[in-house]
Amino acid sequence: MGNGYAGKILVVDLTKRTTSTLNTSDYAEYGGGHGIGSAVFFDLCRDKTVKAFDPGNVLTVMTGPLQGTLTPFASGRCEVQGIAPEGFPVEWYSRSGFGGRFSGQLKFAGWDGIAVTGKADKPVWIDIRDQSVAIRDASPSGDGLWGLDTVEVEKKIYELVRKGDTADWTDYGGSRDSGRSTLNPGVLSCGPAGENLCRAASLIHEGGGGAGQGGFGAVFGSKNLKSISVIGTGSVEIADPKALMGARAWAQASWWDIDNLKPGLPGMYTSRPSGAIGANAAENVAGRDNSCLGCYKSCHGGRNSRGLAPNSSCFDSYYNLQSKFGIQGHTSDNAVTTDRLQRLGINAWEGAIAGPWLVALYKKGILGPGKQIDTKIDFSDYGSEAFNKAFLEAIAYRTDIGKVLGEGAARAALAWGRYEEDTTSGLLAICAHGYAHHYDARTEVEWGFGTALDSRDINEHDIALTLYWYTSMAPLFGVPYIMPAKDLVEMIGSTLLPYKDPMMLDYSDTGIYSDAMVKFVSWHRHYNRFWKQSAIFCDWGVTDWINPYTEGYKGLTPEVEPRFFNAVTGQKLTFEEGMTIGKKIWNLDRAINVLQGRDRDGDALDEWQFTTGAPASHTTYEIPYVMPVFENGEWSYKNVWGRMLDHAKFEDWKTRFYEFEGWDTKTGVPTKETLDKLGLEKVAVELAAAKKI
Amino acid sequence: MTVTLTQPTEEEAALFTRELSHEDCFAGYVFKASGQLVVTVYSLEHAIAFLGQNNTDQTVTPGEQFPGHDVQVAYMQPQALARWIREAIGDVELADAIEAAVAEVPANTGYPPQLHAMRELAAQRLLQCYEVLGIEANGEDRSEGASEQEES
Amino acid sequence: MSDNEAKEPKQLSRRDFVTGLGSLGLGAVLGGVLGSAVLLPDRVLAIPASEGYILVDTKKCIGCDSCMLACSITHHGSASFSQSRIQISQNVFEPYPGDLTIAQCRQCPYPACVEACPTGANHVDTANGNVRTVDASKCIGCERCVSACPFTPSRALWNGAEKHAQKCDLCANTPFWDKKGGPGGKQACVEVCKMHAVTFTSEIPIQSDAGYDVNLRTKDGSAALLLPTGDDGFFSPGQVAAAKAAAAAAAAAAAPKAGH
Repeated sequence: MGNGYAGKILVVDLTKRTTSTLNTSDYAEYGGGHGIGSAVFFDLCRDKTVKAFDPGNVLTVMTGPLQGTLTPFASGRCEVQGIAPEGFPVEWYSRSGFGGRFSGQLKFAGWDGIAVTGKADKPVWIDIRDQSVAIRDASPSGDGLWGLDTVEVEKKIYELVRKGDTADWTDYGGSRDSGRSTLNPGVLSCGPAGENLCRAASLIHEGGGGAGQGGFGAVFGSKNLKSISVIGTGSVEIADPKALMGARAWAQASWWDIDNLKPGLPGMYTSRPSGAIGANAAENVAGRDNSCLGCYKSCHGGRNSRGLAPNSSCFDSYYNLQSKFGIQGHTSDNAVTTDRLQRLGINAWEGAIAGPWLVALYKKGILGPGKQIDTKIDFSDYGSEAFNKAFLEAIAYRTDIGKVLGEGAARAALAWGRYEEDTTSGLLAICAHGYAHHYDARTEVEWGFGTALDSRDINEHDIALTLYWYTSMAPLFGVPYIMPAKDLVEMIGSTLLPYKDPMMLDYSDTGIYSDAMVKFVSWHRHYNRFWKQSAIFCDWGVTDWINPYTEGYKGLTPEVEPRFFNAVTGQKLTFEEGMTIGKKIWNLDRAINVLQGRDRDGDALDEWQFTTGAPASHTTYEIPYVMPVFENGEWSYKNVWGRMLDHAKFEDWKTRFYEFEGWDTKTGVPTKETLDKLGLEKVAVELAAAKKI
Repeated sequence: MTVTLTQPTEEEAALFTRELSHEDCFAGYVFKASGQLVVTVYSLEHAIAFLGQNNTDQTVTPGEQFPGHDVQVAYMQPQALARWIREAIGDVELADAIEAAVAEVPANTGYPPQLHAMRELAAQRLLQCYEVLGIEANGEDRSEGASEQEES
Repeated sequence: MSDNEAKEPKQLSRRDFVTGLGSLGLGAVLGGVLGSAVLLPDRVLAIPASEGYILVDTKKCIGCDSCMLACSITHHGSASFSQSRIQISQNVFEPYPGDLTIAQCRQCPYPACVEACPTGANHVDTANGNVRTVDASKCIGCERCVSACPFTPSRALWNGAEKHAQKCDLCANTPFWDKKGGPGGKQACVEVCKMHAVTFTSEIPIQSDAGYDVNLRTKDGSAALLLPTGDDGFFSPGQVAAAKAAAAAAAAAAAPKAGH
């Protein structure tokens, strides 16, 4: 019986220029995606203390059983993991994800994932055509890929793989039955930023689907790897196709229908598709919205009639918000800037936190021509096209201020002697581990605490979309709440299996340090590790907690996740069993970070989150950050803006979290007993050998 | 509609349109479902440009609860903006006018009408200043690279 | 062109017809001769018209390829791009609307693939609304149907795993789906398309070189979603005018930009 898996994992050793195979079944207990990626990393990376750019770093690009199927939110996703250059001060082993059509091609080529080890002696690209794998010459004297931006390289690879035969069925393999395709290959590439080892370099697919955080584009660059291309003419067997089709019809009925638009809810991913950047009727710049493979949510950017910034959306277009010209006016064309950012392959978040910070330093007379931070780039013109071009290219090509800034904002601040001051005042809004502030750690603590305990900005919008975004935007638009706070937390609380405790959603000043919040952060880490990063359900699909289109707004979680998983794999996995696998993966990742040196001190948030209740930078007014609170014996929606975190309370909360997780309560290191109980005996052995337990 | 502000003198116009130091800057918050970001503004013109990044007119149909996930709110708390205009920029009349206009916005209609009120008044003042100072406010693209990009 | 009177049929050679190279172009073949005979040099051929067709709107398509996956899953129980009888080709770097094409079978009134098949494997299934389909048990693997299809990519495709030709049968034979298919039933690609960019019609579409790529954006929610509703995929004159008017109104309160 089919089970959704392709069955094999490709291992490419770039040093020896050899390939080998792992059996997916040896790793299937981790589900797929990040779980399998971490397990393979654990086995293949002998020394977890190597630096990110060391050939010993192992990069895994991993799918799971649901990828390439009709599972919405999941089919088109892919996970990348490895020792991440962006982490500060330690390059914490971490992950990123991207969407598009790459994962389908990989599965249909007969691979669940790829592990890349070593370093090629000169630029290469990996050319996968079904089961045929070639390591090809990407250098200027070879296929001429090295040095190209992410768009040009992908276009070039389309030509190389399809040999100009772009309209009809292309034959792969040479015999009648060896497989044909009408499609372009799935391609994942680093841009010039990755080639030049920028720590915030992204990996880009289709011009916009990006594994942005972590700096894995630079890991590619450090291995002299330009791109991975894959074309798959095969198939993936589904355990119960009828059940899969039924699940798809059920889930799709819980979404909007273009023939029958229904009102959405403020801030929820609802009716309006994400759109192609720069599309607007007044100038008749048209475009289509785009979706990842097999998903109907169409939140994967779009493609416009100017051909700019394809498949870019969301934060990719956010980088330029500091612009003094505003991004909606002619003088700062957002589509052009986003296009440049994506082509160079730079993580947009870096620009987002660096922007206000660098402008402030310029205004203070610290940065500028001949100043302490010397640059010829004209910061008085911040946000113009000329500025954006100069600024982004300086980072990507490591010139001018980019020599230092290419190390990431955190390391740049350190090099300029400004780290402590600027992350204490909040001028440089780093949340933790060198990653940008994303959602507020002081108000929305599952984001902040989760990030502190993890290896990067967690970027998991479960609470952010429902109990911050929705609950704050409803009053901002003068729209009444769909239900009182008590009913909403009970509705969502009932999905928090196995606990089902609404108190886990108490974001009051006491609630955020409570045992219930310990439980919730633990739940959140486990849920995301398995259901979202290993089964790989997209963060913008699940949790589906408030659904504007269902009876009583009840979301599809916790039914949707196991329903699709089991239809595809033939398993009978319950939601709770998935949570247990998530706990296992979370502990495996924790162990890897511990081997890198993580302990209680490393579970930290940057200081400004303890010293100021204001946003980073210069505002002192209250902004809407409305969340549910349980105070004086009742639930209500309350603006929790303005509080700051407390070190003593946070440390005490961590102690209780460590205990709850089965970690050493002093150091935060998983105990041998916990690891053994999770089936991670060999992990415990390695920790013991390193004297961590 | 909005009140008509008094034409500023040349001295006032120069004061109102100047670039501020970092100590005197203001900040806005952009809310997008994908994240939230602080933007620091150093002049009245920049504040107006910031408020222009709000796209709720395109993505929100009032009364229909029909906003989409691409909604982008450019948030500045009106009273705080007025205070900054009064204390940092020094334009007392504009500050008072903004506070009065925002107070007239019907309750429970949300932020967008407040944003429009703030932006319209601020833009009115900016235009007045440019007129007085003889600066052409023609909406012309001042970015050197943009037209080259569009042709390529 | 909707004249039902039998017109004097144009004299086309079989070769002209099959390759679509008649001076009239493929589109002019029917000219109002619905479901009846066209006079070919050798013999009169009577082929009943299909009772179902897939119409698409490539401008609305979001490129999710759900139709491709649904096609392969319902027919074969496995997900595949290459086994899908509808193909969505995307070149993401081409400006819209040239970045995506949809290749669906037209259920041709005069199916070259049926004509070309030496065994009758590729045939008109009169029990299923005259859908043109391949009986795999009779397929000898000559691939003449694949070559004969006048469209690129060929809508008759070779299934190298199961070793037979196959083509869109409007889901007449979908053993891995519990819905009734065929022209009288549902089509998996249509069911999974939330944009309704892939749709079903029982009316024979106007045959033209543009194929069955039509504008489906004028009566659905596209305008409300601020999507372009013009036939060419761009905004309609009405949409442009309305947007310009709104922009002009906003310009009064817009940020004036200082010239140098």
